Amino acid sequence: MFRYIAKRLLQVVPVVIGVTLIIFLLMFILPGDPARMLVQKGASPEVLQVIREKYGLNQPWYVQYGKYMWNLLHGDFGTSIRFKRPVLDIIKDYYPNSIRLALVALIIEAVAGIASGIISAVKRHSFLDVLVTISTTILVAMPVFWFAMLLQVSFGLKWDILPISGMGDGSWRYYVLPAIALASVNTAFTARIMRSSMLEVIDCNYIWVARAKGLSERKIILKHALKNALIPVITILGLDLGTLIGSAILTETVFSWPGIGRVIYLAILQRDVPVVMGCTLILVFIFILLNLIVDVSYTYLDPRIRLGDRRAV
Amino acid sequence: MLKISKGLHLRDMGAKTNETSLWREIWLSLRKNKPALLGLVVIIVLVFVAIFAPLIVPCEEAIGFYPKEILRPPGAQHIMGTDDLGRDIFARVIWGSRVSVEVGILAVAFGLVIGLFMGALAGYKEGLADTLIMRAADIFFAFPYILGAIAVMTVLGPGLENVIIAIGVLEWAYIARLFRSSVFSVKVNDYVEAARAIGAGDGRILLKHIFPNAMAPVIVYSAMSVGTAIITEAALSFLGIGMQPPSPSWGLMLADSRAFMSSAPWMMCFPGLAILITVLSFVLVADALRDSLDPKLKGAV
Repeated sequence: MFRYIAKRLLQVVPVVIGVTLIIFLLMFILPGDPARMLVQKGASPEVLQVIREKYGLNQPWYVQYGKYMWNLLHGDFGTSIRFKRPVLDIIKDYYPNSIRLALVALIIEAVAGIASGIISAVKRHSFLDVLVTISTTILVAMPVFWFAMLLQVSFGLKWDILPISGMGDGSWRYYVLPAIALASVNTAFTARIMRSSMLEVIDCNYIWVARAKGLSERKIILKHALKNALIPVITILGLDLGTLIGSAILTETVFSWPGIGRVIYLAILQRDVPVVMGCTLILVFIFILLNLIVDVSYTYLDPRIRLGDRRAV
Repeated sequence: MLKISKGLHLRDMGAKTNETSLWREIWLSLRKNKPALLGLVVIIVLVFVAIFAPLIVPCEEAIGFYPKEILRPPGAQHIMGTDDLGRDIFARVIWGSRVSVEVGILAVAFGLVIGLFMGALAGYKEGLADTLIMRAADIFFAFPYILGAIAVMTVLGPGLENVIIAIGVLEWAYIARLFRSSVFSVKVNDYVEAARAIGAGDGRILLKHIFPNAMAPVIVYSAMSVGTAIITEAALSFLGIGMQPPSPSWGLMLADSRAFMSSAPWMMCFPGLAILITVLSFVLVADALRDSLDPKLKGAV
């Protein structure tokens, strides 16, 4: 087990090198001079030169890259060119907002997705099943930012019961609409997977045995079927947490949420390489870590699967 | 060589029947599935609307400036109302279909060209090619799709061609991974071995025997990803780095409408519906294809 985890962690190295190299090269191809973005228009060439030297912008890209990676190995994420403060501080300021929102969205996704998936599998071909199928299909096709705007118009502007922008004092009311918007597409996928997984399990022999023993339908579903039907869903939920943190940029834009997606987006537009690098790397780590946790937890949930086995991959 | 390939005639017939039966199977499954049929009809109508947009409404109504017609609610003259520059929303939705159809089809086609080639190379050759291609693909899975699209767009700059390139560049990795595993499972079949035994070359085996039989998952994925590409274009334009004003992109229209959410809700209503209905059609078709083509659900390879 430890060998497996160590091997997986080592595989992170090429991915990190690849990601950092790509970001660095992209930022060097980009038109626009980061030094020029720091000063007011019409600054003298001498001032620009000083700034370039201060941030090492006049060196060739591989020297800058080497320096960056060396500092990174020592835990130094560099300094934002735009905000003139350590990237680590920016990470500490904005990541918690993103993670909290993602966790709330994940709870919505899990509760709503699993519940509607079970209902529509157990009451197959009923009115409720059709309703769940139609609404999940529509949610999958719905552009998140339009859904977010619809939530704002209805709950915020028309009925005026929930705030529609920012974090305010950080109370739960500010989380509701952004979290629902963020969770929307994933909830639909979770419900679909839960439904098909449940349908598969319900047909198994041990469920028929439980039925033959005369157990109540409720007990059969919740005690016997659910345990096995949940396995694929838990995998999806684990991986979704990463997506919810990293892909929230549209939701963050519509709700003016101070999250990491917006920070990365603005940093890309402003050529703030250290911020793009630092924030993206954290995201990559979160992705890889969640992947690993999901794979390892799989062996506990389903003892038939062994790590390192081809079937497990 | 020519003589040998004549001798292969019978085998080739077998491969061809296989190919036609794939498309027949697709058609049969769509015909039985009413929602998917509806989706297909909507897609065909959309393509016609995109092609014949100039015959439906003149272009000026979609991108001009009409100070006397500003923010008119839907009515007899403007069935979907007008926006803050007095442009007819109906005209913009019609002309916007051009952007969506072009991006949807061309971006996925672009991704398919690279993805199928890389996937075939990785799956068929294995070894070093496989390792290199799949590690390269891993990098694309290591960060969220939308952030990748944003990064590529900032490098390329805004515009229709660049949106298509950006989405295609991201799509290839997903298609390559899918096609690779599909090629893996197909190439161990006896008929591939048989073709090799009678002297068929790599190119012939790939094109005649592996491609037709390994395409099913990719076809399902492509149908789905045309929808994804349309949403991504709208998202990029919504963020301000995709299509630029005065383009009638649906995503751009939604961005414009944010300032008028309470005073002119029709501005956000119709472009959003247009995206939803278009993408929904592709989802319905993709679902039907998956039900009939996915070997996992069908229980046979």
